[in-house]
Amino acid sequence: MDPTTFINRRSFLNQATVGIGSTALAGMLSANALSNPKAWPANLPDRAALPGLPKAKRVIFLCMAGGPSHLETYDFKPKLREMDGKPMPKSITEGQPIAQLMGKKNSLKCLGPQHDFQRYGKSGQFISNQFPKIGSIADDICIIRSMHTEQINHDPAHTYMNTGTQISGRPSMGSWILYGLGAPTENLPGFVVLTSVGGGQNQPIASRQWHSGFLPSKYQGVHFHSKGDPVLYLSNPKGVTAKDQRSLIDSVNKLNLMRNESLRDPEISTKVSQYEMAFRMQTSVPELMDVSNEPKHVLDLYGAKPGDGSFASNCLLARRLAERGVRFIHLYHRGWDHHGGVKNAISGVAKRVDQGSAALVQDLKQRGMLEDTLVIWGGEFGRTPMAQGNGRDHHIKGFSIWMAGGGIKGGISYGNTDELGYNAEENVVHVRDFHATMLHQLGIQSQLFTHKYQGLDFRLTGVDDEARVLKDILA
Amino acid sequence: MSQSFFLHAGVFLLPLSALLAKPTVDFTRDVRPLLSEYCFHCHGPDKSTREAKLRLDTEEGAHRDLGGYAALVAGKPAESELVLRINSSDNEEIMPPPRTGKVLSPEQRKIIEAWIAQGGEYQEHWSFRPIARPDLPAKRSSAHTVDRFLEDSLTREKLSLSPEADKITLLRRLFFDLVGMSPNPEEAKLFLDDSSPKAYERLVDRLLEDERFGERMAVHWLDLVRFADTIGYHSDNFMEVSAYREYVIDAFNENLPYDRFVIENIAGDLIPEASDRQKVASGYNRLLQTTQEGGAQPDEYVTIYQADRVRNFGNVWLAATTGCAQCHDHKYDPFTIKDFYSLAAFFADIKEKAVGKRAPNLTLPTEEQALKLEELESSLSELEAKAKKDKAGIHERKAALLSKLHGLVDAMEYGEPKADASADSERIFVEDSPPGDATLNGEWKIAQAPDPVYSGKKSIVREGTGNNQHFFWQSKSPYEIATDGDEFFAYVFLDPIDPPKQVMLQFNDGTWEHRAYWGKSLIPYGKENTVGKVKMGELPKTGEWIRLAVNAKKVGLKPKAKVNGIAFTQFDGKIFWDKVGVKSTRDPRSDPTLSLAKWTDSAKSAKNLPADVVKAAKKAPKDRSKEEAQALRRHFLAYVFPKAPDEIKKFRAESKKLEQEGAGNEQAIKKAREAVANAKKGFRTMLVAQAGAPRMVKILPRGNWLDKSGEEVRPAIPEFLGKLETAEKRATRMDLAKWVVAKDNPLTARAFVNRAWKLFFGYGLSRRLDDLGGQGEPPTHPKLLDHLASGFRADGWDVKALVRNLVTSKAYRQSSLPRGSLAKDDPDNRLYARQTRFRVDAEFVRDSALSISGLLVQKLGGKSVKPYQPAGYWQHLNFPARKWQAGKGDELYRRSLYTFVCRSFPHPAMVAFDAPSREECAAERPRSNIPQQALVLLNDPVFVEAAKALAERLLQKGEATDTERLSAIFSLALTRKPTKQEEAVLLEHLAEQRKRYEADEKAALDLLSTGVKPVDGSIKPSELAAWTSVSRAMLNLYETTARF
Repeated sequence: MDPTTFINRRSFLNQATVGIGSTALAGMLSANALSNPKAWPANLPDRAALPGLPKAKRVIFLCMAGGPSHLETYDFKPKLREMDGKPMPKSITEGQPIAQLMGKKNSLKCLGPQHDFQRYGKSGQFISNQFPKIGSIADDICIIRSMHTEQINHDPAHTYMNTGTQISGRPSMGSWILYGLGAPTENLPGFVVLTSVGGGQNQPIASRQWHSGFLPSKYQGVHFHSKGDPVLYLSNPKGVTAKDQRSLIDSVNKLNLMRNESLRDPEISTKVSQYEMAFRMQTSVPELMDVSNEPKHVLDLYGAKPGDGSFASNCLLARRLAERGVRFIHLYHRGWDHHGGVKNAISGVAKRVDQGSAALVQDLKQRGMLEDTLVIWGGEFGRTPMAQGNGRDHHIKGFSIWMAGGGIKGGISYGNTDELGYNAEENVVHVRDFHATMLHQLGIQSQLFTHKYQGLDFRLTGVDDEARVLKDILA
Repeated sequence: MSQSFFLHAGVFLLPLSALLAKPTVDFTRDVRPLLSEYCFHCHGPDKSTREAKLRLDTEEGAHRDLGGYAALVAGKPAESELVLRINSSDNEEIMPPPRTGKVLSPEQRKIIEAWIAQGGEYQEHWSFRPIARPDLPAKRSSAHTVDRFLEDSLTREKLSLSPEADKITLLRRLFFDLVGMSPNPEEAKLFLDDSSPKAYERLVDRLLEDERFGERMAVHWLDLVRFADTIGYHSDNFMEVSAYREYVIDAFNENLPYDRFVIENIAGDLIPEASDRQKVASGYNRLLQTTQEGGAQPDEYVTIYQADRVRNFGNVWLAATTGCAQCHDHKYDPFTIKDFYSLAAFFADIKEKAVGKRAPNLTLPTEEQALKLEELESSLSELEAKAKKDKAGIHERKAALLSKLHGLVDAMEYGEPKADASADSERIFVEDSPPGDATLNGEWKIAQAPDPVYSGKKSIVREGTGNNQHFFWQSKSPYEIATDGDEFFAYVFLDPIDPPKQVMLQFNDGTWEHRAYWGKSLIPYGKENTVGKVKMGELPKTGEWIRLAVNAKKVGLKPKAKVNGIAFTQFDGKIFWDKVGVKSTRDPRSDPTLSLAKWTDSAKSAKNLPADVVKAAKKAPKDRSKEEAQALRRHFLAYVFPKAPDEIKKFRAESKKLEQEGAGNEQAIKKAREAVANAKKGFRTMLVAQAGAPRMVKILPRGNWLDKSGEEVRPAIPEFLGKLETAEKRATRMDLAKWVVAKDNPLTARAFVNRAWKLFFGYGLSRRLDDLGGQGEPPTHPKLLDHLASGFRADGWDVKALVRNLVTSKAYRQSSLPRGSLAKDDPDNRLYARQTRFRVDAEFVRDSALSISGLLVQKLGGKSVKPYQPAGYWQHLNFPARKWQAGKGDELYRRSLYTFVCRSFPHPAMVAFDAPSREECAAERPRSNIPQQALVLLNDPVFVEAAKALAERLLQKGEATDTERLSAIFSLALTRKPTKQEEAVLLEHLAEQRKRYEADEKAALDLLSTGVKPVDGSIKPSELAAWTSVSRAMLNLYETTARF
């Protein structure tokens, strides 16, 4: 390549608008047959690709952080109500891991459901009356009532839910999926994390929850913020306009390419395309985050106020991200850690998440996107049927989540806990089964989707071969 | 045999050229990796998942008779079941089974067949064999031993080393590799102008002696030991370990032999008479992730911590994946689950809270602080000595006093009170002195004649403006209200010239809400018309003694209430106070101050009486000896009885005074102790290992902490690697550390040397830096690795010598430019026919920018610092919620290895450039090339500020043309001159930006407002802004951040 090409085109760039300038440069790059690698290439081995799938092209995970009580949301236990205040049968709790109630092991008492349940939709699914909007999508969701996990404290339990192990440093599911499938977006990260503002008991959430672990760094989740820069370091320095920045990037790219004439280093051409991507993000991310151009009826459907950073607004952003080709969208809503006052706390958190969750499913459905978008709603564990004062402690032996879209049957429930809501006992679903099912819907056979690290073939579903796909819930 | 056959055949791309010369299959290089990858999961060391009772990881297992046939029949592939099964077309038969998704390629199958045909011999895994001292290959173009090994294999490939890189490239490479930043023009000149043949070696020596060498090496080391400033889990709170970083830097700079470094890290606290520095080194054992989460089970976290330690121990020191044996025997290496827990047992002596705050357990005063402390401590001990001496004197005087007192008391007559004596029973609290057993507040100023005194010899005088008072409370012998008729009294003499506006008495029975007052209502205490504020009348007459009397009921003091204090409060004026007491309606027979019998009763449970008195009181009267009865009587009359004669009271006062003399000393000692404690508060602290009684460690089946059925184990090294000789004695961390560096440990030296090689050549000789075991990769140059490892050990584990040896080789100095068909034939540079090129580590990207701009504050060690970080980045931390407070001044411009590492949210600019979160051992960082890196270099304030400082640096140099300035900036950032074309690009950029900022000075000032360092006001803002833009371009160049 003759580097002077750039100089010659300089006048053109100066006159052009920023947008045209960048297109022009990108054009020159490809005209010069420089590699402009796809932003998010797929790495799924052929053998792990399932024939006839995927049903789902993307995932939106509504993570209810803190451990939602299944007993006040989706798991109706009349027997527990009868037993309210009575001792919890020792036969159930003996030898079980217990968190904060450890000291009270010998005086555990039942706490009846703190809210009434009712049947919703044609399917007549039982859902707590605190969640009427989610009730209104009862026919679209599949409630799994028999989840169980292995970690009883928040931090390791999130790590377990996100990475399939409690050991730090492993890739989160969003990274796995992006690594495997890539993403059809050139302007946005392929794995985006949103955290909502407000919500009471804010359990800490560490960035390891969206880290790519031993997978290449580019597959890590990018945290979008509702305040300040939506993406870290996204804004130009003060006194620098988009045009200035464009001009700077042009100069940098030109100098890099000139130097590469003698250095012949493929990293340099990658670098050039990364600067282009960074510049595109500087435009596309603020455009994405600005929901003010959404019609009023859509804002009303979610109950979202532009720029408020609420869960409802994040649900709307999730849809916008999904539309733009983002592969995995992880929303965190904190405020579910109800050790005390579970009754009022559930009512409070329901007001924050009920409408947004339901609106997202409805909106996707209206747009024909629900069929290839897998929406998941759930936390890192459930809560004890035993009272902790007027609240509930962490509980891992049985809890509920729901899934919708992406080839999952709507209007059904799967699995059950025992009559007190303690142990999942019918169609028990381990976290790894849930992972395997999610991957299956994305067209990935979890067993064969491995990455070698420290001498082992790692999978999201663990080194052992125990994960099973929940065939019964597939449409 | 064609080369391409091998390039596709192996699991890894090996320099299979060796086979061209010697067409035999090598077990270690060619076969074991295949067996490990495809077979060992079910036919390997882990017996719990072993299928068909067949193991292929041992020769014996492979030959075992399986009922008339065997997996491996030496020399006879056709008769070997292994060969039949891997070639089977039956889905039920074929190995590996289809469900595993693993398929052996035809070439791989051929390798296995060829190996069996050739005899099917096993070799011990390469890294478990003793380290050899291989013969040196023949000298070719270079006599350097490293080159002789490399050229040996290159020659076989008909290849050669690349020519030496140009001087500038070499210089920059060496700076990045040895000190972690690019050279400044002066440093560059020193080398570039040195035309002697020794110039390069001299540069190497200079850099090895540069203190930045230790900092550079520490960056790598701190990744391995997962060094961070926070505990990791959940609330991720701060922990103080920064002194460890300093230790590491010093160790590399002072070239501490690696064996000593190992021992100090693992067991520094166990070294006899361990120095502070050695103790700090043992902080290695405390760097793991821990938790403070409420509801976390200690037993579970003990398990998590021990696993973390074993994992890290294996990774760091041995490059072994010991962590894989936590739940079951290792699937690929001979580590058993028992080995795992036996290793854990070494660390079971470390004292720590399983769940809770990590409180530092070592203080590290500076010299000055130590001196100051010494001073304070010596004055404390002087005080203590004085007190001891005084005490002896006091004791003597007290004994004399007591014997006098006892004489008086014994001579005194006393009879139990009668029922009708109640009318005049009085208890006096204040007469000549305040009560001895109460806490005093406010000034008790004594007055004597000629000032007014009501009774005795003294009164208390108080003079003040506004609300003021003195009081006693917390009396150890409170007065218990007998009936509603009890009456408190106090005598006052109001100064006729300066009378108060209000007089108040307050009584405390647990609260002060019992108040009586005379005069106006100006004192703000209490609520009017309650017992908390009762008006008794107008101010008493001035100039004479008046008895103020307060009925107990009137101020809400109910029978049984215990009055432990009285306050004397006044508003303005001057009052003499005297004789304070209570006229009790108590039946004296039930008043413990009047009745010896009653008092004796109450003395049984008294806490502040001499032990012999209490003991006597506890006995029934008839059981008391004469001495005991006397002791009770003496104490009662001497110290309690209010009607004792004045002589006795005088002695009481004197003995009180003696006590106070002692108390004065105590007070001074207390103060001195506080001063010592305060001085220590300013000391730097550190979390280090401290040994205690070891916890019991059991094997946990499947790693399950709730399963207590496993066998108890004692500390032991992995069985297949030998046995520690500690006789009957329980082996310690010290024994473990010594084993790590023992002569016959095959892993330690190989692990270290392999990683060192990676630092300077871009890859390890065995490419998996954290696993020299079966699932790692056999070394590309096994003999070279052993040559270096054995040399390292033989040279006394001399790290600098090792580094010098590597970087002075011709191989290190060769060019990294692509050459011939190497990129195609050897894409991963396994033959080292060229140097490797890469973007430097995150820390060095920022350090270089700081150095180029002149902002860098080069200062060794110290606590972690907080440079700029985007606001709100920590918003998801909680318990407690925290905000990152950027440091001030120098802290903003320190080298990046000093930046505070929060494991939950490591600094985002570092994360963007692949810095690990320090949660687990990271022997190797990925090298990504992602848009976030562009955003950091473009927009992170530190890079903008660096660009601004760089521009300032250029413009402060006085008159110069733009071209001259460009030349200067190139020399600062890239150690070279710009080409004409580069110059043209930047001149055009400069012209454009100059025009733009000249037209909009506000924008220029905005740009220049980034960063806290003030700008040089003498430079025209538009000019500085335009050059800042040029400087930003320079700092964003790949060449600025890469090592070629």
